[in-house]
Amino acid sequence: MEYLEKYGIPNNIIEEIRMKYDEIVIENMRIEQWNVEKVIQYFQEIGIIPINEIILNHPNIFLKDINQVMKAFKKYKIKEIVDKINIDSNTIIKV
Amino acid sequence: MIDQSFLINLLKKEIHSQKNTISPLFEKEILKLEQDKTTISEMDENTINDLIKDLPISTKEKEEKKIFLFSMKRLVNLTKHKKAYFQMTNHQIKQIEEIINLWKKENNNQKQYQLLLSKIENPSNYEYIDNIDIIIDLFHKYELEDYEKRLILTRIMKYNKEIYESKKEVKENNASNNREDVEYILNTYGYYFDNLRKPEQQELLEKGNLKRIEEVLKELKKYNYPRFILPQESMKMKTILINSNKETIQKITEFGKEKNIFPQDLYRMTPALISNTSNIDSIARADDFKKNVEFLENLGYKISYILKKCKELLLLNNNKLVSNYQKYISYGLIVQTNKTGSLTNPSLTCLLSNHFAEIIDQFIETNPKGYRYVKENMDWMSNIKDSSDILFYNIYQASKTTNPYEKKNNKIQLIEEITQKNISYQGITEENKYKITNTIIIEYPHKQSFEEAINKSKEEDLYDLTIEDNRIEKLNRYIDPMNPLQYDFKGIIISRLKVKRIFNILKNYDLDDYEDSMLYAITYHSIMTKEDLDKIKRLLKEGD
Repeated sequence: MEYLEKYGIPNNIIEEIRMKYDEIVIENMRIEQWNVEKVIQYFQEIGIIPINEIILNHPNIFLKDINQVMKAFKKYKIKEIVDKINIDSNTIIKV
Repeated sequence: MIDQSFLINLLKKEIHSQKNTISPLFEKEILKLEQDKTTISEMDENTINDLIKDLPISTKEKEEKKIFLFSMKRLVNLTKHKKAYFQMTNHQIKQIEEIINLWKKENNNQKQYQLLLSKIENPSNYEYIDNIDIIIDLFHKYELEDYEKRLILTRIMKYNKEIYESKKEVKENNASNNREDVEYILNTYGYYFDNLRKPEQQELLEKGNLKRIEEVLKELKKYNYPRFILPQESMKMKTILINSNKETIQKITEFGKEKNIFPQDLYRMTPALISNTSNIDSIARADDFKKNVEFLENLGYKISYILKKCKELLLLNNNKLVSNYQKYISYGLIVQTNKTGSLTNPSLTCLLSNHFAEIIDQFIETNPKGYRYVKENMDWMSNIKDSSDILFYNIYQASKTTNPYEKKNNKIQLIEEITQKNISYQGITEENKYKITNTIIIEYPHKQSFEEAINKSKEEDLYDLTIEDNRIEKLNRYIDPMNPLQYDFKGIIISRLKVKRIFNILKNYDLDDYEDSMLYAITYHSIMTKEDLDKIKRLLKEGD
């Protein structure tokens, strides 16, 4: 899972995910590395800041197909929804 | 037909039946008898019956030994009653010693039964079954017919032969695959070995099986799975080529077809394509995947929705999914669905979580409105690490002087001061949360054993709330009539399901008979002061 460090996601976050959720979540994040990276890159592009929080509390979002993620965001005005997520990261569940 | 499953059931029956006879108290009795044979007079009838019941001898021999022990007990008691000195004959001493040795042998066999069961259930561990002695003991004990013994032994020989062949195959693989051979196979299917990342190239050469790689690629092509995009999907390609196999891909893909789960979905769920019999270095969830789909479908949930929202749920260990589901509904929470029968949050997150039951317990215990908060809100699972989360210390502290909950939009919510991330509530931090709230860190004489049992139970995923135990029933007087999910120990609220769950785990590991067992179950992870603890101790003592 070292690949996450280059996105500023430290090891302790991964350890917390490991403790919080079933092992299959981390295993899938390991196998689907490319997908996880694409979602992180997309979030960074559109300006989402609390990525560490989101990956800790909703790791399965990063395992969704990137096209599915982008399609979900396009239903909203991107700047508005990103601002809301940056204030309260749980808003992302609604997206 | 008698086959491996018969032996497995026999072993499980044996292991289960031994639980009562191998407890620390029982061992004490045996030790006493060993040191002084006349203590047979002090052994009660149930203990004698238990002692004989599990010996690896025939029913007839058990009867004879039982009669002998009961007659010895009567003889010694009669002699004591007459205040005479009782001298056991050598023969009598030898008989008792023989019984003790048989019991010790069976006691030791218990560990061997566990090992044997583990070997049979996990053939991918490549371990031979070589402890035939204990199997012979089982034959005696259950007085199997000759043909039954023959079939089991033949099956074991076949099993060992399969392990030998598998080991041979692995050995041949580990002599590193020829790079050219692997390149050739990949080329045949339109892939280039050099397009894989270097670490995955290396692993494929070291751990891949040429025949299996080819079969897997063939099946993936046959069923129109998406092609691997290299080098980005090197990890996924390597994982599937090394760990999956033809049979599993066929089985799962065909199963998926019946359930409208297509190869493009399965492609994103690699563990579903890996079974226990073939995996080398990945988590195998093929069998669990099937069981999970059927389990959730039978409950009326839409698999297509789960695939879309949280496909990891389908990859959970099946025991864990079922157990989490049972835990969830035992708290009176409905696994919510929307109009189309699709699971909604937080159900999905809870079922994936390792800690949600403990988190609900903490909400229940830290404030009377906590349970209502859990029921009315969709996102309480988010942002909470586990029962030690600082949020609970905030709620506990706030409850001393104010109401940590407020009504908003017809639901209760936590007040903002408590949930703010960057500002600590009343100065509470991770480092000082115990000090500021006056929380006692309780020391139990058997804490280490209890904690080990809890950790082990998480791996084994034990969950059984059907515990009938008069020690739990004694606590019924403290059930809160306003909320049967909690006990009220004169103002101290304790989650009832927590107590049952923890006590059940201790009971399962024979740790329920200690003085601190019940107290541990009651106070497990609770935030409380020394005065609260003393009160509970007093109430427990009064109830004895």
